[in-house]
Amino acid sequence: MSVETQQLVRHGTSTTDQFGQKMRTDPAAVDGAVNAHGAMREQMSTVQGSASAGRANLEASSAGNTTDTATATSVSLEQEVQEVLDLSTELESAAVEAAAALDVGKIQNEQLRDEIVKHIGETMEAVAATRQQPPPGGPAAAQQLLTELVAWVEEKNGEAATVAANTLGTLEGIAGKLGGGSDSTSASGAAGGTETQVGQSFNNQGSSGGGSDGGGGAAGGGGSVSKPRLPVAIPPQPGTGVDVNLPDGSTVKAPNETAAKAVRAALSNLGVPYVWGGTKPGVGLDCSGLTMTSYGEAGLEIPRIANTQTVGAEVPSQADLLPGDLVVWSGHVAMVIGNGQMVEAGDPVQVGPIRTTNAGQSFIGFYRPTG
Amino acid sequence: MDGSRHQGFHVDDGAYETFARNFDPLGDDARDAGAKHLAPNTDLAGDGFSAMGGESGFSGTYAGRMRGLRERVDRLGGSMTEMGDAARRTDGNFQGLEDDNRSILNTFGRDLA
Repeated sequence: MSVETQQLVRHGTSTTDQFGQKMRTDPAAVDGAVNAHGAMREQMSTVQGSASAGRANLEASSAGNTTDTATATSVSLEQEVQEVLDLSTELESAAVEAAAALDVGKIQNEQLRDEIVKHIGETMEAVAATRQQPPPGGPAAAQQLLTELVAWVEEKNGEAATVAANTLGTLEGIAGKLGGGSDSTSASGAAGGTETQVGQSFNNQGSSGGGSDGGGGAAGGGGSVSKPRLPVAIPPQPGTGVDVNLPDGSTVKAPNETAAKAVRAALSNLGVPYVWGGTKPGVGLDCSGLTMTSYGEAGLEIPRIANTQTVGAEVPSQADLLPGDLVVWSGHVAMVIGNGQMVEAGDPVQVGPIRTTNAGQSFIGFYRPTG
Repeated sequence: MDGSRHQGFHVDDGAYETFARNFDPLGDDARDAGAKHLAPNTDLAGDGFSAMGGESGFSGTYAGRMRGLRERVDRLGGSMTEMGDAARRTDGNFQGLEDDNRSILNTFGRDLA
């Protein structure tokens, strides 16, 4: 493969490579999670069976109100176990469904990548042959082949973007069925169902017990995220900073030239449509594509994925934010522009008030990539 | 009739002690199921459900529901342990009642003699 072909392949597959990276799972971890549900249910089913057998034994060896209270409490606990088993089945199904959607996306993306590589190779062989031919062959005809190749690769990249968008949509749908919303570690939230209250005894008036009260509804959502250990951003010295003009006509001070350039670059993309996986300023951007390319234009390379843009220094609070700082969630990122506002790749790229909430995602923190 | 499915009252010797012993290990069994199978799989290792899983909100939602399930299983384990304790107290209350009855009968018998 010629150097020219290698360069074209590298360029032509960069989009599918990015999508492939975004869809890369940890199969062992996913399998482990799925298998764990089965093992958990097996163990809890044994617990349920033992409780049921004990209850039957008590019913056979006693009778009266005390027995009724004890067995009713046991029945309530056995039903709770059943709810846990059902929840586990629901979560296992969601995990399997999500993994399958990602597998399909990865396969389709890989097929498109292979098509691109193959087509570039074949076209470049044709280009090399055409260059040697007399008219109507020759350099002009070869150039025409290259132009058609570029258009074809763009079309395939568009198909890859559709595959990625479909996969993302499927995952969002599965997440929605599981119950999106705010992060929940609360006792009643995510698990829902009823909760049995067990009394001190079954034959002591006033403290005997059994029965259940309502639990909460589905809350789900959010998820945990790892937070890197970074130094705390140092406030700028008085009189320092670089001016940045905002769209509303006001002027703010970025902590340094790099941050100022990044903010200007991000603002120059206002109105640009959201394109999932997009990293083309002025054409199509996703959230992390906007921040990455903006800092890239300012000469600072930051990671591609939103929740890995936790770089530089951590800004301790919203009050300490400066233009160029990043607001990072588990699956989203925005750039502070000053005056309590931030720019983010919604659809389109737009300016809005700084916030720390983002539907279905956990807030990780504020970061200053320039340290 | 009090509306319950039985008529009368009886408790075989050791019925509640047996009931308590049956429930005793279930609390630990339930908590063990949560600790062994749910806790290590709440946040998936490595790429887990992928960066796209994170961006779609799926990974976060799944992890949140897993945490909720784990907490539910733990509380359920606690209730199972409470069942054993309550059954043992019930047995103790019956023993106390029986001792009282025996004492009353003895006293009654002495009065008759």
